[in-house]
Amino acid sequence: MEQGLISNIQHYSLQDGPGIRTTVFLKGCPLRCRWCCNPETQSMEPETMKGTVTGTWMTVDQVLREVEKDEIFYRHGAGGLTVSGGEPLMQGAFTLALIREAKKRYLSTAMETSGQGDSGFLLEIAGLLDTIYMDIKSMDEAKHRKWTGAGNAAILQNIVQVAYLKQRGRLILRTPVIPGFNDEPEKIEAICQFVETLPPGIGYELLPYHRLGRDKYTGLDRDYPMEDVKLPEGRIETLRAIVEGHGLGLWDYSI
Amino acid sequence: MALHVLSGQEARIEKEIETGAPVYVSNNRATRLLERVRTQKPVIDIERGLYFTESFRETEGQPLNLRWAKALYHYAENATVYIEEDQLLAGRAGKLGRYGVLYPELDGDILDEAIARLPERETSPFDIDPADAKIVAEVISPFWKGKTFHEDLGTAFPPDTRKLTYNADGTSRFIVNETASYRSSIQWVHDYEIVLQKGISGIKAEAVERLGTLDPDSAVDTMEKKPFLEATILTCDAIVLWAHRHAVLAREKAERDPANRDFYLKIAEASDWVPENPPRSFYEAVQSQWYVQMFSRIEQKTGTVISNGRMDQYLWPYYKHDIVAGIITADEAQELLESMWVAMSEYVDLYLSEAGGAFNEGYAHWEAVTIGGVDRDGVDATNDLSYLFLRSKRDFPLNYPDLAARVHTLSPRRYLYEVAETIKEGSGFPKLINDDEVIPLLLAKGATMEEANDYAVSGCSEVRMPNRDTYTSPCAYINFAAALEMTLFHGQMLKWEGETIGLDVGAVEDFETFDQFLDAYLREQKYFIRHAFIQQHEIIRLRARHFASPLGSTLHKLCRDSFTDLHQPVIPGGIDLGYFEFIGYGTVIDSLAAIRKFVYEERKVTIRELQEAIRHNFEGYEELRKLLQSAPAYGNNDPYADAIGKRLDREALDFTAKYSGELGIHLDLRLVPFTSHVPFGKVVSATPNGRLAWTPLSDGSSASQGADKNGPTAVLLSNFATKNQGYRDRAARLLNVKLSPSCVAGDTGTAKLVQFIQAWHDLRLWHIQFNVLNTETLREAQRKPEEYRNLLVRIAGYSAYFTELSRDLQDDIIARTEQIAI
Repeated sequence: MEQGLISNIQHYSLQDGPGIRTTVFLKGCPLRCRWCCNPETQSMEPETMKGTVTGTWMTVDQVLREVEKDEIFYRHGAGGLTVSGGEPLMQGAFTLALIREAKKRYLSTAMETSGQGDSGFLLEIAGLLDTIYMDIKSMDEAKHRKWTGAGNAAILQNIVQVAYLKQRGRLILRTPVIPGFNDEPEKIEAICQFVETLPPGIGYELLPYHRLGRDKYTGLDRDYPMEDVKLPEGRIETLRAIVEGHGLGLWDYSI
Repeated sequence: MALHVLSGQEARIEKEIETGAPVYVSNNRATRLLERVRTQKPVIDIERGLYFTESFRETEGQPLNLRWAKALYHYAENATVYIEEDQLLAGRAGKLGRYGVLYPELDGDILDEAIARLPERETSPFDIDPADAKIVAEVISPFWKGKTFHEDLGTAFPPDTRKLTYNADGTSRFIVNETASYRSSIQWVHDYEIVLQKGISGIKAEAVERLGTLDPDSAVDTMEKKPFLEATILTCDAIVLWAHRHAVLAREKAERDPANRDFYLKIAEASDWVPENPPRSFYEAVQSQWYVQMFSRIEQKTGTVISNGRMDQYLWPYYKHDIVAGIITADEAQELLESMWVAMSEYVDLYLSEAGGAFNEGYAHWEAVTIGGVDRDGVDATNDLSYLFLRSKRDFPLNYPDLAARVHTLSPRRYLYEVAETIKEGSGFPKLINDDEVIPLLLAKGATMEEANDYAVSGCSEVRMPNRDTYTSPCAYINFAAALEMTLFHGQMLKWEGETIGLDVGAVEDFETFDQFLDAYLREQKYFIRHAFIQQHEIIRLRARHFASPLGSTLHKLCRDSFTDLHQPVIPGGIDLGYFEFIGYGTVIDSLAAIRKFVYEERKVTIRELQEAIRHNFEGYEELRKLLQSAPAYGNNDPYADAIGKRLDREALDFTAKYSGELGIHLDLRLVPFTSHVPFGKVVSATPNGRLAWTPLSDGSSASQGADKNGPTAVLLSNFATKNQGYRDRAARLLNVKLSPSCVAGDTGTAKLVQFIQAWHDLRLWHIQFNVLNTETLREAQRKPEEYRNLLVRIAGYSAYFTELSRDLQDDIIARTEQIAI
């Protein structure tokens, strides 16, 4: 039976899709983004953080029974299951099985993915989801590789394929804005131009950098790669203006 | 998405800090009134205490309700009346500014030492004029010594009950805590509507007529009905006289202050007309209600301050008429109501006793103003006035009134969204009460459908059916964490080592199974409830000797019909809804779960070791403490802990189902602490869930501090899972949920808050109130982490206890310059 390595299941998630949701964080990620705020989800091994073990093997049924506990909170909005991580595509078979079973149980489904992973699984899953969030970090291949551990070619291709899927849920692209990496206007401008080449109706949002996962690195006995950097004052507003200038943004259509 | 995600209130505070001046939505009379009193320390006004004392001195031996009415009349005749610039509503119970009132008939025996302590007291301090203090010491206090209810009650309990209730010096022991000696009655709602419909003169006329039909040969007529009717008539005369004296003063002011002549004449005209007559306008309706409300406060010290009923319902016809006729605008109506809120805030609930102060910390007040819900016909009753109350709550920066919103299945979408928006504004109001939990329970206790549908919120989280509810005796708060401690220590508590206070339930050290232990605890729990019921028996018996409520009785149909004062134990036709509080629910559940798991299942610790660890307050037992803290806990939607919670709940319900009837009342199980979980915690040593000695117990139906790791959905679900819905002997479970503005930012955020409220409603939970997390709270949590251990912050995929985060991470969250998903 399919089992997944789960880092955490978080109830009452308000920022991971429409309505009130339960987010399932899978363990394991092919990337090593310097700004990662969930470092305990990177490795595919269970590990100890601040005395607690993170990383448990669970079946699809076990995961969904936990998700369904909050079923009463999904009713009035479009709440439900969000799969996140780590990188769900790293356990593609499990994620696909999970989403399939969730739909059978009439749960609304969403996924957050870096886009770095098997296209086959990605497209099949995207075709089933109500909402899919994909990261778009930078158009600059070299910089992308330096800061995340991988280039962006495969990711961009995956984004294009998902964007053109005839049958899919809402697609929302997100850019984590990281000082020193992609927080200059030209960088965001480049991303906006790329997004404009895609079919219309795709949401796009900027996620400003925050260092609130920093304590986790200490808990894992690791150094925090980002040190003490901060976004310059007013930078996000400037970047948002660029996004809006391209007619892009996020509409609260599915509350 | 906004980055500086501040609640409306926080935005206002920041602007105020920036500009140095208060910021208001509208600059009207009400804001001017508020400015004057906002930061004042309250002062004791002795007039009510003094005039009651003077009158009582002259009426010895007379029926109590008549004595009370005479005292009210004496007050109405002689008390200083005030007409204040900018304040359209006349009538107050004390001097201008913030004031507290004395009720010497209640616990006047401790007046002297209380007065001495009050100005410097940490919890809710008051000032007193030295000349007034002298009058208290020389005139008021001596008269009441030996006569107060507090003293009477203090000698009434049998020794075993006494032991659980009071220390040797008569102060509260915080174990099985009676709450009747510091408040004249439990929370209450008057039928304000009858005053609007008939006028006081109409009510008086009926009483006069009935007086004329009495049979002088009938002893009952002469000794019972006659005093009741005379008290009614005198009370009616008193309140009308009081109002008229305000009219006279207003006219004088009009003469002296021609610039504001119209303003003062308007007040005079209204005070001449109401509450004597049915009001002719919205303004007069509000003024009439205000007179009744304030006169009620003069009459007695109702627990939580007198509640105000369904204001959006009984004021509606007047509001609607005036708006349509162009007599008043919505803004003017709002200004008038806000004037009332300020005036409400000036009366500060004054508790003399330590228990009273500690249970009502921070000048607590719950003068519930109810909006929304269904009407008598079961149809949604929301109207424009409901929305005006909500708008005022958003606009006006004052935590009065205690706004309570009824929610039912067909509450309009707009209503739910505006309620959510109002909550988000930062004040945490309104609190929500669930029609679909409350109404069936009222029906199960004998109410008609119409009565149940028409309930008003009362006090902190209770409900009343005016003209059907008749119970007024305040009830016991029970410290069940103390029961657990006594289970472990043979009926003793470490705070009072050597004294056997409760039941010695046997050699717990030798128990082989958890069932044996649980059984022992339940016996101790039952023992506590037994004594709470004994307390209640005596309280009900004795209160009628000390308290009468001629105003309250005049306004209550069943009282009028049977000529019985509200404080009498039995009023024909009445439904008596009392309750007792289960304090420390989460603490006890978690402790039992820890014992079950680590003592009896995994056998990692023995009871003897646990006892030792508790004796040492876990010093030297840090590993054990950590282990105990890892046990399943209530509030996490975990069946392991919730099953225990459900059992505790059921055992308590079984007791009350069996023994309430013989007292003639419903003594329902409730989980509503006010702030009692703090003083209750101070007498309980360390508990098996890892809680340290003398620290607060769990609060209401919330999880123990720091034990809720799965967020608010799990807390609601645990609440649901631990209720026994096959029983009717249940009342409120207080539920406070922390809400972060950034989490519910924008329209999406409001929608999600509405969804959460709808789920709460579906679960048929009685009450919910949101405490909006703001920068102030977070800074407080930095300063006093021990009080904020369950402050959970969620950070994009990660939840953490704020107090466990490193200092500069905390500062980050406080600074909020980046968008975070807390």
